[in-house]
Amino acid sequence: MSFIEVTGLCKDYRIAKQEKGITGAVKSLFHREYTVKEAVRNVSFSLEKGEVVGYIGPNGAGKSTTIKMLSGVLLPTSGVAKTGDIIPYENRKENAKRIGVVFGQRSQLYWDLPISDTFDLYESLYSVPRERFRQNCNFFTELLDMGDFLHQPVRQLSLGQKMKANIAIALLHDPEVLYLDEPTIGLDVTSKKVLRDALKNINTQRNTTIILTTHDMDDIEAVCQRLIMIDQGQKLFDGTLGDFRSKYNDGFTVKLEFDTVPPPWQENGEYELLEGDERHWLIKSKTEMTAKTAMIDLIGIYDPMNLYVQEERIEDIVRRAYAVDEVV
Amino acid sequence: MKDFWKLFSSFFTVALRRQMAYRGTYFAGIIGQWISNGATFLGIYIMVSSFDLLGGWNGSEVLMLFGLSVMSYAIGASFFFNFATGLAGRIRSGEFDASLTKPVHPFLHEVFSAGYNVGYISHFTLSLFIVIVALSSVSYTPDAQGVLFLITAVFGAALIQAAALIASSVLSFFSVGRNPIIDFLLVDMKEFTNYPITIFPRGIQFVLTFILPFAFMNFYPAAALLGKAIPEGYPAILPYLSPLAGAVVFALSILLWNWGLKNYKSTGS
Repeated sequence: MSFIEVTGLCKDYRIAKQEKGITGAVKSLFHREYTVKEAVRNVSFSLEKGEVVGYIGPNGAGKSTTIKMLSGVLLPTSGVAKTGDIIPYENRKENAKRIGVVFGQRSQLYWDLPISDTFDLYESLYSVPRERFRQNCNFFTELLDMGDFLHQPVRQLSLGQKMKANIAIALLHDPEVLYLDEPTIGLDVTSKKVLRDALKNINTQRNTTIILTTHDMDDIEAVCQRLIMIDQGQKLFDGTLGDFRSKYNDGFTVKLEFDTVPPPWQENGEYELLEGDERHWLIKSKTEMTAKTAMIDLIGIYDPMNLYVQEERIEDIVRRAYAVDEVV
Repeated sequence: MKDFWKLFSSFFTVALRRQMAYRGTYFAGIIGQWISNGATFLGIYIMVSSFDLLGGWNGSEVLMLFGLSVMSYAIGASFFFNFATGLAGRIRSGEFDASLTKPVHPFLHEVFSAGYNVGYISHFTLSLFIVIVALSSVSYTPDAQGVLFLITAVFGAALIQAAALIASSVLSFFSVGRNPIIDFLLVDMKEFTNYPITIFPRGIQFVLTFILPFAFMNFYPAAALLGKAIPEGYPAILPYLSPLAGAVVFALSILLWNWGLKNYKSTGS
């Protein structure tokens, strides 16, 4: 049996409609009308201990809902989730001791106190031996490079510093699994790198299983061995990063920037002009060619001032992947 | 139980440190509360002292009702006000979900992390002043038994106030925004108890005693202490049952909260 087993997991949300005014208020106490939204539809997967998995999909795909069921916050409508030998939403407290959770930008820190105070609070929350807890505080302070701002009030910290602190407090009690919901959203490049390196480190040094949801393909490439993609609540892909790229990736786009009026666009079988105005063109190759060939080619024909190669964004891949699977 | 106190003291310390970080605001807040509650106090005092008797209660005796109500609210709200009023926002922002990933009951975690509100010390000191003024002006001579009775009654009353706050927060599990009906039942109904309930129609007396037992916060203990009549035909033991009434409604409010939580976990609304 695998460490984490998810079988036929479904979650429907009922969204209550409330009418305005006093009559609405009275009515809503006795009878409500609902619209049903299927957030997660029949999702199954299994994970081994120590795996690092990227859980991706566009906004509203059901990523957070899955994480919430795995961490014991929500009950599934049907299906089963198991971590270790525990059903998280039935044994919430027991499960809570074994997991660490960071929900995106919702900070668990007290903004008017320094992080060190929140650390102390977490020591009383989890029954971890004092010695071990101190060790962990030092370990994560070092790993996440938090020494400089440990004693500053949280309100003075940057987004990246707060995220580091949130990840640190999720790990102080030696969880077996770490759930991260959008850990790098809104962070600058340097913070992202520190965070990704730290996650890799935690995984190798402590064999912590990590599930992270993200929009950023670079997060996946930097830390994940495996990728699960969902959209509209359904699983579309589950496999290695390499498999994903070869199955869905549609290459790259090239952006040309001109300092004068560009020469006329020459329609041919090799390139397609996706967007264009007087100074910028966004071009995609229609055939399988390397970025190098396309660059040399396009510079030769149009002589732009500047040229950028952009990898396809994860949202676009997911959107297209969904369309492809729909047809199949 | 040992864990409970450890947890309570850590969170309590944090709450104090947070509020003491803004001492200026804190003291300004206390003075503000003194002025605002003092104004209500004066209003009631002027009104009741211009009547001779209100249902057999003189001005000072009516003030006793107000004093007990404010005092019990100060105690109950210092523990539960932040929690009750903050819950809807925490659910909306998703912070509440984090409470469900902690190895303690989410009710405890929410109450503790919402924090003890030190500001209610102003309500408390003011109400203590009112109660002492009221009792001395009716020439009440305190004895050990009476003081002990008053302390247990206020404790029960604080539990009733706390229960009202907890119950009002349950709605956050079902819908965003407040429901005026609930507000009326749990907030405005309490206003009746600023006056002796014997002056109201029997229906209201019944509701305030047996349905939403706010009369146990101040009317019944004060009636016992000052030797006043209770509604006709009601058991003579009632004035002594505030601690019991408090314990019962407090327990019920927690059951209600857990029921709301169960709904939240299955519907996630």
